[in-house]
Amino acid sequence: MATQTPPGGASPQDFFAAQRRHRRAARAYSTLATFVVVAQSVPAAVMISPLAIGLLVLTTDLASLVRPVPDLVRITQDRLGHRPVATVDGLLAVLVVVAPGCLLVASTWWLTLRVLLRRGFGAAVRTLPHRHPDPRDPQEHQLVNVVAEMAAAAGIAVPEVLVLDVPGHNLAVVGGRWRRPEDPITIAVSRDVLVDLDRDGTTGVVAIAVSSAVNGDLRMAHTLCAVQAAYGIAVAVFLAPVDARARRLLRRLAAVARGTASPEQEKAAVEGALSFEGGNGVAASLAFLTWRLNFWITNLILVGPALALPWRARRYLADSTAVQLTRQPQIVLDGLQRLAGLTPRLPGASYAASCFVLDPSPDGRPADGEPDLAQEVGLAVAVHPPIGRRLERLDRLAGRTSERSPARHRPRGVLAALVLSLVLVPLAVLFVAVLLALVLTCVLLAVTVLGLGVLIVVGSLHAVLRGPA
Amino acid sequence: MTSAATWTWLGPLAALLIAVALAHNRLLRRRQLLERAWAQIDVQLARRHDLVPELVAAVQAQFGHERTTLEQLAAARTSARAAQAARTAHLTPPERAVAEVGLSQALGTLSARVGALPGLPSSHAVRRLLEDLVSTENRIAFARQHYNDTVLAYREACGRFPTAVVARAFRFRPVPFLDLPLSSPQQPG
Repeated sequence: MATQTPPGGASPQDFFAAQRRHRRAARAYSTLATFVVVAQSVPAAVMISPLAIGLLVLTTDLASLVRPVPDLVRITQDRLGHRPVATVDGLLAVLVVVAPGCLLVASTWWLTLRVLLRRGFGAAVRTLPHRHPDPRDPQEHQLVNVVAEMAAAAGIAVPEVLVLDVPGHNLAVVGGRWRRPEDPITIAVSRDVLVDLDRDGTTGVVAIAVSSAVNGDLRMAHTLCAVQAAYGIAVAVFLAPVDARARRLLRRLAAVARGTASPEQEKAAVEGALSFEGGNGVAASLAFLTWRLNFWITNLILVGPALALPWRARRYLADSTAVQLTRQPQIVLDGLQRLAGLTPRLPGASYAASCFVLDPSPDGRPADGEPDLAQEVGLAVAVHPPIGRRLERLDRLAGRTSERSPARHRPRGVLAALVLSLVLVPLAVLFVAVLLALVLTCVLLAVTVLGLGVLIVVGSLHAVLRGPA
Repeated sequence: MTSAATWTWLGPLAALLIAVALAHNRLLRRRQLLERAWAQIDVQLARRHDLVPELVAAVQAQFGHERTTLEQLAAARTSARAAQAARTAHLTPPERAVAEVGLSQALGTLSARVGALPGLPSSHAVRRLLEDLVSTENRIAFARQHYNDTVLAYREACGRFPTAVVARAFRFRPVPFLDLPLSSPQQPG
């Protein structure tokens, strides 16, 4: 379908083509992010494996007190004891070491994702002061109408509308496509947006929020954050017997899973899972330090950019979908520009930054010293793209600028390119190699200490429960 | 040997059947989306019909001299409602669009006349109804736009090879775009 051509301007970009381009980019970046996250989880899985094996052995030992259960240690000894170690399949050995941890991390991730999708960032948004729109207020009545119009444009059921009574100009969307297109959507708009934006401006920014929900952006944000949360929960499970904070976190998560937690408790549970820090004793402390180091390094050089890139592509996709819904790039552009020119910062909203149309902590610093999601999970790259680039792309969709701005195409000299390739690239490779070597060393050290600890504790308990071999 | 020979023709046949089934299901889904998109327009048109009596009552109370315009509006609404009642069995979307022309014109006229009258800003009820009227017209326009986008996707699917062969075999007929006339009510300031 053709877009309207502005008088005397360049022909506007086809928003369908723009969507296809951004969707392709988002898919490619998401695949890259998945690979990176899986690669990051391998050291974690290796570290967890001794603990998982120990837990399995102890569980079967305890179960054997009630009814006969095969002795796993004896079975393994029988299988491996009759042949020399050299003949043991190397692949099998690797699987035994890595598989329990991988399975545990994957199943924790899956469960965490379910919990996050049911509650997740929606709970964080609902912890902000909110209410349903007052039908007697003309501006709030108009907001409800605008949301219904955009829902009609997107072919979805009318979302629930909330008014946020917080100072600042921003709006968030919660819910959207997970398994069914009719999954409920909530749009929360700060009161100041209604005061300072006219009908067209409100339509533009609401269109972006609805587009984000229709494209299933929140699902992707939850999927990626579930990975971070899963590590925290996995550590909490192992530290629960010795650490009060771990037990508290697990109790909160259980309440969230049962659906009995208040929005504040849900927010605390999600925050806790994303940034769990605990550990008593030498083994736990060393494991924890290695854990954090692994995350810090890999987040800095790999995961941060890998998670930020698909999210940024999703923002651009939402913008171009908003143009498709309104068929008026100008009102999307003006609405976003006006919103960015006001105060998009919202106190208490940084944890749910991915739900908002504009970054609620635009300078990377959350309001009033509150915790920041990006900092907690160690992401060095902001998940929202710079507003200038979003406006530039919308400008092109509106046909006002047909080419990239000259500032983005500065001619680079051959010398600069040579310096880059000959000096910076080897330095970067060296830096990454040193960091990875550091991670590997730490992981090996942690696995050795944890393995020895598990061997001593589980071995002693096994001897007591099953009798000497 | 026999088994290998059987597989040489059974394998491609199975692949072909699966491809046909997938294409058929894809077209079926597109057609269902089309029906859902049309149902949305229907809902919005019914909403417009329901809004008219409220609008007539509010305008009559404030601006009694607009009697002729109001009578035309009421008559157009009755005609459009009759068309809606008959739609389920007989009328296609384009025929239904024709039935809505009179109501759109009457609403446009009333909105223009009321908007030009002095004293409108003080009438909260009329302003509110005009906002609802603007929104309803917008919703119909957006629902029509969504319907036409869905028609476009359906027609593309029907016209693309090899799905086009399946569409022809299973009688997935092309659907025309919808050109639904709308009034252009003035937005209350």
